[in-house]
Amino acid sequence: MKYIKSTCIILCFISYYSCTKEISVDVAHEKQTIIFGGIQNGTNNIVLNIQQSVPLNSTASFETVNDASVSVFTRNTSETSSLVTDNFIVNQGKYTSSEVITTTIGNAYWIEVTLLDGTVFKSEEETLKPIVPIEAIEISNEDLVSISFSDPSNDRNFYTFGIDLFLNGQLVSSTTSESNDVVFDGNNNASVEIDLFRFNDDDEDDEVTITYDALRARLQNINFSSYQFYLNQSAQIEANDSESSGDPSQLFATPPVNLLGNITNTTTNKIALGNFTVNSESIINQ
Amino acid sequence: MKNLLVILFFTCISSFMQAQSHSISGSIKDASTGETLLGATIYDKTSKKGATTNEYGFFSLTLKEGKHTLYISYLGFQDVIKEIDLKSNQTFVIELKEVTNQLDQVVISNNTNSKSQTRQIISGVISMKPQDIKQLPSLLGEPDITRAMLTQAGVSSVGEGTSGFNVRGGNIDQNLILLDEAPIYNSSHVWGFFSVFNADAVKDMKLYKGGIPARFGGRASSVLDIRQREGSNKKFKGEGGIGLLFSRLTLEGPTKKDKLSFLVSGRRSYFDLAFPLIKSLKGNKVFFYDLNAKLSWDINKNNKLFASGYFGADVMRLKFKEENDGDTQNANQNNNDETIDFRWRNASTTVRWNHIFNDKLFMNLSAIYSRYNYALSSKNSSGGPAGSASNFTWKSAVENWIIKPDFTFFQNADTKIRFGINNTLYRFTPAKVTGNDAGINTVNFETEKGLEIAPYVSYEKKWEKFSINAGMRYSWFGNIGPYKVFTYNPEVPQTVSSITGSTQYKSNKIIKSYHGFEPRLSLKYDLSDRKALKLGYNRMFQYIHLISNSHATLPFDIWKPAGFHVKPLEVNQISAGYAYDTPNRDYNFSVEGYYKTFKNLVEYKNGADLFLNENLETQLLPAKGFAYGLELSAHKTKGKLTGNVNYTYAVTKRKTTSAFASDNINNGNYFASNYDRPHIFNLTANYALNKKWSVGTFFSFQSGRPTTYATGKFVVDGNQHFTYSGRNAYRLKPTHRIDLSFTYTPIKKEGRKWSGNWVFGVYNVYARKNAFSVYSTLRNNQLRTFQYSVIGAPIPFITYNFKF
Repeated sequence: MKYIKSTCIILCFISYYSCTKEISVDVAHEKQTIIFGGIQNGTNNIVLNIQQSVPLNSTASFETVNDASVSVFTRNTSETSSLVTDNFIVNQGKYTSSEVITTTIGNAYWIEVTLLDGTVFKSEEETLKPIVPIEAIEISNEDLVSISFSDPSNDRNFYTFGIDLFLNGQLVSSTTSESNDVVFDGNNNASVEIDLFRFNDDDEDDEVTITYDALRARLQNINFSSYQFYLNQSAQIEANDSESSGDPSQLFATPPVNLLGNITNTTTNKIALGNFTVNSESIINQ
Repeated sequence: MKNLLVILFFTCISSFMQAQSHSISGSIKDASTGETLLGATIYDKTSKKGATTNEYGFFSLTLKEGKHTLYISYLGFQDVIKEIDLKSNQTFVIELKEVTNQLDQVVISNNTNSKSQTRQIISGVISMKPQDIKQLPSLLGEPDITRAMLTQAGVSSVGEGTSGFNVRGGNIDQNLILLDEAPIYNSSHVWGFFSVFNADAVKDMKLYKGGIPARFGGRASSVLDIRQREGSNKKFKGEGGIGLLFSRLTLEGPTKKDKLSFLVSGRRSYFDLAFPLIKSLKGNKVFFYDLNAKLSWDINKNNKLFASGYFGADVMRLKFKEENDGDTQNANQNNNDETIDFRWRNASTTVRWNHIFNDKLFMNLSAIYSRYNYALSSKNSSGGPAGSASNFTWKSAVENWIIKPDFTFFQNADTKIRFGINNTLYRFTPAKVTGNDAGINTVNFETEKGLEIAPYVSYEKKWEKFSINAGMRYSWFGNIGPYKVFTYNPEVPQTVSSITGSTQYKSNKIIKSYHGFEPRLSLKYDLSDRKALKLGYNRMFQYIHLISNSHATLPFDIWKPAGFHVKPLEVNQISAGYAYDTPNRDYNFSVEGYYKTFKNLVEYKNGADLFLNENLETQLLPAKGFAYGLELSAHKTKGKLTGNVNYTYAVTKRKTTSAFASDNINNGNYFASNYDRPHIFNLTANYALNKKWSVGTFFSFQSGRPTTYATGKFVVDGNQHFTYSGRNAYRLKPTHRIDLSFTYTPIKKEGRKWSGNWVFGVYNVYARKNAFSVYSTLRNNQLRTFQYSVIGAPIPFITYNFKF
């Protein structure tokens, strides 16, 4: 399916007459708050980032927000709600829970963030879904990893898939993609392919490969709104990727996608940038 | 509706009371081919009454008993003057001779068939003949109907090389494109670069932008009515053209002289013929073709039968070879030859029966089948890795079955009543994906069916100064089963998470129906025989939507009918204009303003996922909009210099109207639609230098298309991300370009059948790099913005056209 867009690209004779040139644009920036992080199955710290956007010509990449108050809540299957934690250590906009948190499959989790000016953000109450185990991974042509798993039947599932490459214990590359289960719903032999170097083989260096001695595959079972957020994230990365831009596919470009997920600014009742992902993760190392 | 029926009744009664009058009726034809001429005029100088042939070549004119001098005329043909002594009803077949010399043709004086807007009651109608299109400089020398439409006021596109056109702020799916009455769903080849209509097979085109007659419906903004030629029933003929990338050939002739004729017209691109010679392109295919065919049977003076068909396709087969780096041990395992096969095609067939009940009542009965489908398949020769997502076949289609009887009652020279009923059965196959590997299920999204029934009646009356064309159409649309409808929690935005259940509707069960009256009105007041004021109003319902979130539509965008979750589009338009012809009608001027409202438009959520989505409604947002504008146009149709200059000022805006504020685009405020191009100026000119040479040019200046820019930045998971301006808050730079063509026509020798001409020129003469879109890319962690131009260089062309 991934070839639909790339098929558009192969319009050689159009490319011959088409051209691109760099231009400068004058735009007005309005500061926006971005919150992103998540909670997983098992026992882990909860990590959250809070930033504000900066103008495009700023030397900084973002502005940290260090004075927000953060609370994480849960609701169990008996519909009883409780505070999970509101103790966070703040470092450069990164909020890490003071203690590790043990989560429960089937419970719902969400966050509430209050900025110093009183603006309140709340994420959707998302359920921690059951783990979908990775059954096997297979590598072909050195750059295509196939992750096999059994998709639960009678349930709409949304996944993110990740491949992390390590060299001497150091993470050297991380690639993620996302999928719903439309084409493999309930299929015991479901599989998804991930191109390891999808965003690395740009024009300047066609043959980029990354040396690694260990590979970790991740499969996260997530909720719909979080899936939509990751779709938006991928769409934005792809739209701004230097290789995929500037060709006849621009004919069929869609409007730019904002990184909207499951967080609402309850003060203005508008969807805010960012996401708080509740996910259960399966990992396999090779 | 009730009042209209009363009018209809009394007009019928009164027609029988006009004892002193008789009718002349019949058809007006090309003497050399027997082809009916559409829009030809028959005019009685004594009574100053006249009639024009309808789209089937038929006319009826009721005059008082006595002697009359009839003037019969048609552009490009010699006038015929016929004296008659009318004592009873008479039927004629009048044949006109074509003006043979091209220079004479453009110089000939003709008072009745110019581009004048003063004579027709309906406002906002653009008429074009294939000759008009062939005179225009064109991309790669291929006469193009869609591009010709884009030279006219009120018609625009989102950019060069895009499919279709936009009329007065409407989406491209709001244009009803009819080829011999069959709807054509994809009007472009090569992703939008060339029109699917072969100009050699076309007889006549009319684009209705406002005051759309009641017999048309189903699309909200315009109707492009294209009629195919019937083929000569006098003698065998042929014509064609040989270009750099395409060739075309048309053959026509009588199977039985004056009775049965055929026309076959074909066109094929051949830029892929060299592929086998280039190693890297071996096995690849990229081409398109069109085949038009028509059979016309003149059974007797009261009956004619036509069968016509159109078949066109784009074919693209791309081979990719994935090789490992000399790892012979695994070579057999890892060498994957991957083939992507992609094709989309239109097919339509029309069977028409013209029947003349009497000299006043004419009927056309059409039965039509139209289909648009596309297929995409991907194959790995070695099977690929286990569970590869590369082995699949994907098919999608939209089909129409239409039957529509249409009657015209010519009550008298000044009064015409038209009525009929359009019945359309729609069938949509959104996606059928067959996986060829264990890892891909067969996905077969349910077929959706719809039935549209639309009776209509229109009444046309001319008084000395005042004319009216009033119509009423009532349309009913039902979305019918079998189909599974999902229900959603109404308290929250529609997403797959808010599904509360589903209902499975049985076969032929009406899931949801919509209906409404669609009034149409055109008024004309003649200030003199060369000056007229016009007023128009129309309401249109559109029961199908093209689901597309990109700037330009793709061949594999899907169509969705109105149903449980998606409402039909409603457009109301009011227009007013003034038309003026100079004393000898050398120049025709018109000015027309319009205001249009759109209700139940379809817009898309942020990051809408339209790909293989069973719950498509979760990605859509209801929207409304408006458009207004002013169109100024001047035509010169006589003399050595002919042409058209027009200017359009147009505004079109949208806003989403979701009940959930968080869903709305642009915070629920109005934003410019993708088709909002406020200033458009077009100039077309042709100059006949002498009997052999003529030169043509086209210049266009247009405001840039609206766009959305990144305004701020932040970082998520180590990746640089961006905030964006409000939707379409900025605008690309204006676009402009000049095309130039020269036509050399050797003087045809007496008695020689073969004639030809050479057309050569340049598209985009001064290499203007018009911005189609602006995009940004991250380079060295800096967001850099680039302008993309589809055509940034002059494109020369040469074509040899011939006739025999």
